[in-house]
Amino acid sequence: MNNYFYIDLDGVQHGPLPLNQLVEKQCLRPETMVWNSTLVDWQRADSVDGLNEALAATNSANMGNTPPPHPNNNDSKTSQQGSYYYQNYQNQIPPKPENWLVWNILATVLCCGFIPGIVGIIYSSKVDNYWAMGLYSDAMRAANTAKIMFFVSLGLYAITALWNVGSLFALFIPIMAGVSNGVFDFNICGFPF
Amino acid sequence: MSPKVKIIITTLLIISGVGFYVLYKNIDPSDSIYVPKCISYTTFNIICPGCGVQRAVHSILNGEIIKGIYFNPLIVLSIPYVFLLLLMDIFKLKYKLPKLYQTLYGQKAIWILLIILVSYTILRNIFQF
Repeated sequence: MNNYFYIDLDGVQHGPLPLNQLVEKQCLRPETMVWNSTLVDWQRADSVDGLNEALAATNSANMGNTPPPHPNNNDSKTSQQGSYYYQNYQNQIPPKPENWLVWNILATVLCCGFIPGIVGIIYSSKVDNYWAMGLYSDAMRAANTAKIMFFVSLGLYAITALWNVGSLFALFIPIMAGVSNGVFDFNICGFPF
Repeated sequence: MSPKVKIIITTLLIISGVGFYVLYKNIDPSDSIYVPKCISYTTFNIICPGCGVQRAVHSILNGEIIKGIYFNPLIVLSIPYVFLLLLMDIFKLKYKLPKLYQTLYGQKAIWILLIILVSYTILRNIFQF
């Protein structure tokens, strides 16, 4: 179950691999982004519980064999790779979209918005899953649909509010007529203002 | 959000919360024309999943929880669930408690919720409750 996906220096996604293979391939750095089914988001390898021990073990085994990346020399290969990796990482993972789940549930549950609300809930539930699978554009599209559905519900609420105010005014006309005739009984509307 | 905007929003929320509390505690939606009516019920005669929420809130605020459940069983019983989701959304708890979030609000849970919601709506319209 605990197979990991990871993103290599070229920004390409690999996996799933079990933990021991991941360590054997020696492609793991502390800053490598990894994900598995127990994680919500991609995380740095050194922040994942099982991986940081493995990283520490490989680091001590490699001690003295490979130099750390040179921070100051811009022409060095490692630094170029580093910036390339960073750019790719930036391109690959856009900020996680808002899923609008709670708002769609509220719209569904509190009357009028129940049809667009249910559609919105379906799309909301897809957002996190797509995002975890790496289908970022699909996640964005689902998030957008969920958002539109929520605003459709809001529009329905606005129409309901207008409708209710309108029907109140329609009720007021006979009430006013009753007042002018002196036959109006205040208890008729149930709530004595 | 700037702190000034936050203060304004919080104040508005507190004022409207107190306002809703006073109104729904004192006005009985069953016999007042000033309480908004459900548009899907008044126009299409379809009882929506939210019908009865205002009456339920009125009863619960007056201490009659059983009567509140009777007006809209599903919504009243799911208040803790929705409230927890709201808290997790506002305080970004889904990143701190990812497992809990996945179990309660993951894709499976949402599909179960949808099936319950749709069958509840259908049953309400068949048995008129």
